[in-house]
Amino acid sequence: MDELLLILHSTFRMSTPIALAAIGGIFAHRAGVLNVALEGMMLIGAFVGVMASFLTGSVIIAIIAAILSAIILGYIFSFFGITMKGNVIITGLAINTIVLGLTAYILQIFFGQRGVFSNPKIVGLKPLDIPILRDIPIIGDILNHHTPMVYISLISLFVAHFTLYHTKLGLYIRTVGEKEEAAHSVGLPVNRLKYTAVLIGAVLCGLGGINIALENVTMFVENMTTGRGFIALAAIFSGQGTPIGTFVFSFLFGFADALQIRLQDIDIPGAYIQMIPFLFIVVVLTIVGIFTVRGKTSRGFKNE
Amino acid sequence: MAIPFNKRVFAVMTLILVLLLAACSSSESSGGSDSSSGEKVKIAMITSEGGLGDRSYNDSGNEGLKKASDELGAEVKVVEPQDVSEGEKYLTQLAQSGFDLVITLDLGHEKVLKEIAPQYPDTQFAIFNTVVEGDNITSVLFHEHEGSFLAGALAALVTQDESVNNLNGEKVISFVGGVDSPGINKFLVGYEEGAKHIDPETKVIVGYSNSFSDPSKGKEITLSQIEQKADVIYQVAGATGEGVIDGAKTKDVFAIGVDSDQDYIAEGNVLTSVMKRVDVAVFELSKAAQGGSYESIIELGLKENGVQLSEMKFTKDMINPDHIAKVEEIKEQIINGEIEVTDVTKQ
Repeated sequence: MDELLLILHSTFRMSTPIALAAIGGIFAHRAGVLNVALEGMMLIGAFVGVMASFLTGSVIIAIIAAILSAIILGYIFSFFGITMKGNVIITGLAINTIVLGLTAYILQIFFGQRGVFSNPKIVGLKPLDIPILRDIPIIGDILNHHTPMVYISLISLFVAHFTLYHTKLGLYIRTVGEKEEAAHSVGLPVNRLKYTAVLIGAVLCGLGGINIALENVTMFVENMTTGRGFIALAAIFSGQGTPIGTFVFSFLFGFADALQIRLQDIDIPGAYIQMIPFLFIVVVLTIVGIFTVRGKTSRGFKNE
Repeated sequence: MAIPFNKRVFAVMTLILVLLLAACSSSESSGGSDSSSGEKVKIAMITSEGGLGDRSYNDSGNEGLKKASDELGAEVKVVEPQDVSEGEKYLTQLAQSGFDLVITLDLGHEKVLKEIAPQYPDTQFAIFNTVVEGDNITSVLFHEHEGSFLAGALAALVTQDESVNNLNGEKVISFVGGVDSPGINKFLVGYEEGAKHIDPETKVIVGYSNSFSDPSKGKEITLSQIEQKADVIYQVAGATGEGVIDGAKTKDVFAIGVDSDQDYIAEGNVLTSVMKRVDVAVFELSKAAQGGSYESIIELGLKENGVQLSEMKFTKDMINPDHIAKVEEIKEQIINGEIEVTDVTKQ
């Protein structure tokens, strides 16, 4: 039982960056823009967050800087992908590649560091002890003592759900994604809505970056997001673009990862245990795919 | 309009091509004259995945290269491939650009090296941690298992101590590896044998991160192992290991560093580091390059000081001096052959 509680506790830590990026990515997904740049946005958030924290010693400034840097990437992505009507997948991949190189380059040129940047002057975010949660037995064990971004990811779930289904903005974004021509014909500012959707995602990716670099650890390592942005995309597709579904899948992916860490000391060849998270994603995507393919009348990536 | 435009493009392309060819041939000839006059020996090093900045393996090699540049006046170059698969490209390019010695730190280049080396008989190649046969290949082997044995012995002694840091006194220690491969398990087996040598009841928990650049995950694995009562954690996982050290620091237990002296990363929470003196090896190779004669296999163990424990600058005074004396004694026993440590890569 204790073991299970510990696994669930660590699941929250492991799923938070995925959940933040995924919930952010939902908006672009629903607006019909495939945002592959989630990974790069998270990585720049992590990098700028660490730099700002190192230079100013302020976590608040670090968070703001991380969000701003991700927003800038969001603008670049939107400009080429939406305004210039470039291929969004290629634009997104280009952004990921640029961020990977740029962060390594800046680290080397301005800070004389290669690969890892760790310094006592970097201020991180500490886990919170929330009084109300502390006293509730099982839920407290799982939900208390997490870093702020874990709670923000939970809050973002509700905000995203509310925004998508209970506000005009959400309705417009969904309309744009479902039938762009129709949205155009009723006079919706299609491009501006797409920009908004991408930028909302950028904000949450920036926070995801903060979670990876300033909460779990307080350091920057080249490519430290290690594909979490793509796992977030998998979570969005598995959850069929709904905030709750997406969050559930982010949580499941985090759970699979936390579980494989715990299972590693059992006498099964390690490789099989380490396959769990990836196998899980493939299986889930397959099942989701089987269910969604039914009743589809057209082909193309928008259906995915 | 279209035809003249095409013609113009063609003309420009041709011009560029001609210039490129000219540039290539001229650099080749100048490279040739350099080596024949023997003024400066040219040495290139290809890092393993993770590249420079790992404050560990690759950085250690770079230290040796810097020393070769400073003391031997060698012309040096470091290349950092993004991926193992780029090995072929870089080995070929460096050999073609007239380097006298091309060192690769990546074990994954084993196969391509075997094919490429015979094509460039004027270039000497060196690879670490594996034996590749060939007239112009030097293989450098470290006895990491010996260093790891010492680390395991020290860990098993210290883990029973309740007086330092936040240790629990239980006979449980752990290991975090980058991937489950013979190259990494060489460390693990030495570590386990060292621990069992001290106390056969010592339990060693093993975890793999499957990534050399994911400190978050490294920390998560570490925390999980600490919850299972492990309080000395040996990491062999590149930058992922930074997370392991961070985790050990958070819970105030001990991590053990690897490849270079990592004791300073978390003062008082890195028990010791198993140092692989890649710098010594690279420097030795550079000296050989200057002399122009190479050995086909160089083996560096505790005896040759190619592998050693760090000086424990921050932890020496925290732990029982008897432990350190015991480890010192074991070191002598390994050197004179009384204790034999298993090398899984040779099985």
